[in-house]
Amino acid sequence: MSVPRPTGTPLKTLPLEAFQAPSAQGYALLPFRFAPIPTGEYLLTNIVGEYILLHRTDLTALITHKLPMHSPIYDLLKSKHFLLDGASSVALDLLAAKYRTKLASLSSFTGLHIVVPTLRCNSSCVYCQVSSQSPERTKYDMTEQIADRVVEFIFRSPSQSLKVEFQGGEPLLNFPILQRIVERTSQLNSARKRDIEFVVCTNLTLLTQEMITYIREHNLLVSTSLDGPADLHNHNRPGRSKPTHDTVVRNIRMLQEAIGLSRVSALMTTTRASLDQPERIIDEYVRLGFRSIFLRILNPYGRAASPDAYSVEEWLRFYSRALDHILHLNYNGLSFREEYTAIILRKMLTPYGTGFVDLQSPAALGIGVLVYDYDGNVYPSDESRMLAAMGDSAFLLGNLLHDSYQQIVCSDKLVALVRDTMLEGVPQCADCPLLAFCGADPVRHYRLQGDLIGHKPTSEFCKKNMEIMYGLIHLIEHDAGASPVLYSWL
Amino acid sequence: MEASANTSCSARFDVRVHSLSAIKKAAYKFTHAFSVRFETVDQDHVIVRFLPLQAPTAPLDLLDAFHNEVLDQDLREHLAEETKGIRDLIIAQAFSPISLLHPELETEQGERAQAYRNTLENAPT
Repeated sequence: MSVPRPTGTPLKTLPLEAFQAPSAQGYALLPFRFAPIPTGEYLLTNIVGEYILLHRTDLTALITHKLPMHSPIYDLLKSKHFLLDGASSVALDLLAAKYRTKLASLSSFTGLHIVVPTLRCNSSCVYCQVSSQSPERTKYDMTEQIADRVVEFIFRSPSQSLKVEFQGGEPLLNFPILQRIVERTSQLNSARKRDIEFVVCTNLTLLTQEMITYIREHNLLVSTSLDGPADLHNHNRPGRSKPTHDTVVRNIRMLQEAIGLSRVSALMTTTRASLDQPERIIDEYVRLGFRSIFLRILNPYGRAASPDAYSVEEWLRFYSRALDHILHLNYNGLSFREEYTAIILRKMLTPYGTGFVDLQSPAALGIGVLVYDYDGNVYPSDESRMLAAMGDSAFLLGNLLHDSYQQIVCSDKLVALVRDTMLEGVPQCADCPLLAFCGADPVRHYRLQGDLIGHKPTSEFCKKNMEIMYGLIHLIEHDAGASPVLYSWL
Repeated sequence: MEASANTSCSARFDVRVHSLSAIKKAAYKFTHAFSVRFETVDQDHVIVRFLPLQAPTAPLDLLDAFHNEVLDQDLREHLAEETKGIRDLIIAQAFSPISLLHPELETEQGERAQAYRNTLENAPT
């Protein structure tokens, strides 16, 4: 029923002054961050991550209100919402709308639910981060009672879009529990109408024809690990009794045939043995029909926290070589992308946020992801589960059998984690022009530096992301060949 | 500005020219390689002393970089002061169900929006 407009209520239109030419009285600054970058220029980013490169003299002129109005730089800064003139508030309206869009995931709350059906695993990866157990130790399996509580918790999340990801251990070792969760979730969802996606993260060595049929019939996505060609993969990911590469490749092909190329993805983990062969690793992905790769640095948990780890500088050299090789594949007509780069590019070049857990402010702990371990323990991220397996339960939120959803997501611990990981209040991050693209990663900082916030001048996470992001901006702005390829990854 | 080869170096600042908070923020960025000490000279002057944590470095390069960073921090303070109110307004608008920028266009809740906007604009900085 419409409400009649009271007499004298103003019309819904802007006053005439809003459409007049800019005032001759100068301009007002809009909020932005800036810092010098390795090329000697200054990078400026505004509150929603739109960016521009300036020389220092222009930056100083801008901030001290000495920039000539309607010069090319002035017009560019105005069009990208770094300054404001005239009576119109369109820029503020647009900035507010874009800011809301960037942070849309916050309002929907937890979208990613990671389930560990078992901690058992049949692989002996040199970098295992989850402290997996041998295949016969069934006491590390999730029970039906806990699985049913997992499903209850997943539906307590208000998010319309839910992703249920099965991790391990090797989840195929407890396939009946995986099936139970898939089927109960799907059954309940016939009334609840959420958008649900299931992902099985598996080493693929135990895949059977019956499992493939189930995966196809229940529309599951599959994510596997492939570290490169046979010699490297078998070095990094040996089976407990025999090499795994041949089996993995055979099963990748069978799955691609059964459910389609786009529903099977893979990621690699960089070991010391990988560092000098990025081209071979990428070529192996191309050979198997993949059109993307996720280059993953070692995480400092479990066996990966070994003396055989490498420095972030070594990994950045590996990444740089890999990206260069991928760009050349694209120059030669093959559409292939690096996924971490693509995530950052989406944050830099589109108005949208991403759900990628490591690059969120506040951190996605609990509010973006919840992890349900085999024993019912609930963690705010996969890394905090890995840390607990090493004996440090600092991030443990509760247990499915003893605690309610409300007790877990409203716990003082989780609220404090979210509050303390807003980069806007973190030393150095608060001034950093990359803040709009970056994230907090408090578990890694806690593990490596003993502090949730961390000491940014010595943070490896900070060094890694600064070098990647500054490098990408350089390619976009100054490399006519790379720029269109990077835009094609959006 | 003082530097001794391969050891420590220091810079003297007049806090009437550069704010102490700008100098401190600039110094924080160098704590990956230096232990940084502040010494008060008098009411208006401080000395910032850099002690290398590991390998010796080129002290004059460091001091040039530090001075540039202090100037950048000065600019950031200037910028933050000018844009604080408008930043708060943009963020409040982003999560508001009604228009705070054009309360006059809100036929039913305009008064509430205007009151909220007034609160933001008059909030102590």
